[in-house]
Amino acid sequence: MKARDAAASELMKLRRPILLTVVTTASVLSGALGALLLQAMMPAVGRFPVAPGLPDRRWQLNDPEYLASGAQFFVQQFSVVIAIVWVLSVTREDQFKTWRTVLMVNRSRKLVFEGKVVSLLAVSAAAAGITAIASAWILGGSGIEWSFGAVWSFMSDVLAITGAIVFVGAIGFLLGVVVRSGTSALGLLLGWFLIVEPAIMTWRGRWRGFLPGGFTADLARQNRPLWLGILVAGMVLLAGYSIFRVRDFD
Amino acid sequence: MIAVADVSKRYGRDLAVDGVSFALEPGAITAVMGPNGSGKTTLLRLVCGLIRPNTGQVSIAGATLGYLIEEPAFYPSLSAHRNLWLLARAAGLPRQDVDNLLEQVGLARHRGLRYESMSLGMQKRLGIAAALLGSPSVLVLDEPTANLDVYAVEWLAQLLDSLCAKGTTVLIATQQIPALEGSLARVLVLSEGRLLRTLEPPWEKNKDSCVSVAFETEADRSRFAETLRKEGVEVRPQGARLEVVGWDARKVNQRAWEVGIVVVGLMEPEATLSEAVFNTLGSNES
Repeated sequence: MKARDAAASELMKLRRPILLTVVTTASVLSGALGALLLQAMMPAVGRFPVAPGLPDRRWQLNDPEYLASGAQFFVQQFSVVIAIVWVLSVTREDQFKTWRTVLMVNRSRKLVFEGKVVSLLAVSAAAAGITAIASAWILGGSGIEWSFGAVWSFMSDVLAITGAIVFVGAIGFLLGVVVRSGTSALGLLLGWFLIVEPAIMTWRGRWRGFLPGGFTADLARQNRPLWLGILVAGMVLLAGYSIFRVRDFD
Repeated sequence: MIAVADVSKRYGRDLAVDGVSFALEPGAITAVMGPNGSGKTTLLRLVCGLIRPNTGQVSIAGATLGYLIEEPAFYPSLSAHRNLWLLARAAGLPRQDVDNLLEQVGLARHRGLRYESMSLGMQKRLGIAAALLGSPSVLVLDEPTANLDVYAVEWLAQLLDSLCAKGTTVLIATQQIPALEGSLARVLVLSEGRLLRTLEPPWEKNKDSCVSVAFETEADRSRFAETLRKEGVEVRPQGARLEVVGWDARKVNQRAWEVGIVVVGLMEPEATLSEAVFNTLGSNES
């Protein structure tokens, strides 16, 4: 039994039609919503609302203005979709009681957990890259410049965005492991990011950087180092594993 | 192989399994029997490592396990083949194994059918196929005959016999005693989480079982009944025959010879596993 086999099996699950449908629909909706909002705010193609007065010019993928607005906007939208995938990848096993079947062919809980995390990391990285490039394409229109240097530089931004997505995903994963119900875990996750955290921010704005949503945004904008994001996400996943390792399965 | 030593499992205040110990006999079928809520499924889950005991130890040194606990568990939107292939992939097995197993359990024609569209019997067969992935040395099945028609039960009995012949050890929990009776090497009788007794064939007869005796004449029948009644033995007239309760055929024949009565026929029903299990459970209640 190898971690590679476990991850390959998990990737096959993530590609199952129902999950693909949910993720694709949610992505398209969030992407369309983001594009509509940004287009309404932008004075012209290639200009971003956060940088008014900039001269019209060809945009590069690593333009600070682009990174400060468009990509993050999309990625923050999309991170919720990816977090849903992280949550469902755990809670669907509880819902269908398939943990026991999975643990039959792979008795090592550590390998099963690793397989899930590795496959979700791969999906998150792919999603971050595709979404960031797609958003650049939509926002930049025909004015965007696709030079090799710009794309290479853009990779570090995609990495930061992946870190942010993985951090949110890890929180979803932990919630899924703890509550074992997709509806409850997603309710808690979305409730926190959409209601509780904005309410706290209104009350105590300076706590922003210590709250999950604010921390995620800081990671995506590279206001926080990537290693810190990896460390915190790793700790969250470790907490999930410590529960998974000792829990009973129906 | 598999050894369970003084294992207990508690759910809140309920003690589901209470100090159970046994070892599985290699290459044989061992059954766990008992009334609903006696702890059969919990015991099987403990053996499979799905739940952890509060006390005691389950040792599966060197054994590979395949199991089907309660109802099968698969992804509803995926086909039979895809569901098995997911598991085979995780176990590092080739795709050919999946095709062979679907053939073995009679689902080759339905390989593309979504799990949620399958009948309960087909789902059970798929669950058995999953349990057989990788040719495990120990097979644990919980109520394997539930939802199977009579032909499928017969097929399952043959499958288990053939697996045992190849050296596979089987542990099953079942309520349907007659279905697999002929194949069982040992039966663990559970009640309220405790292992009451381990039964082995030939099964013990019920103490209330009787011998049906036929006589040459009606007078002989009356005289023999009277004799036994005086000795405190329960007898029941049954047409032209007499039923003697609690004695075996040899003892009836001996007594008839002693009192000079000619017995022309003796019918002693074979002891069944059901009787043996009910005896064990009954004596525990009293």
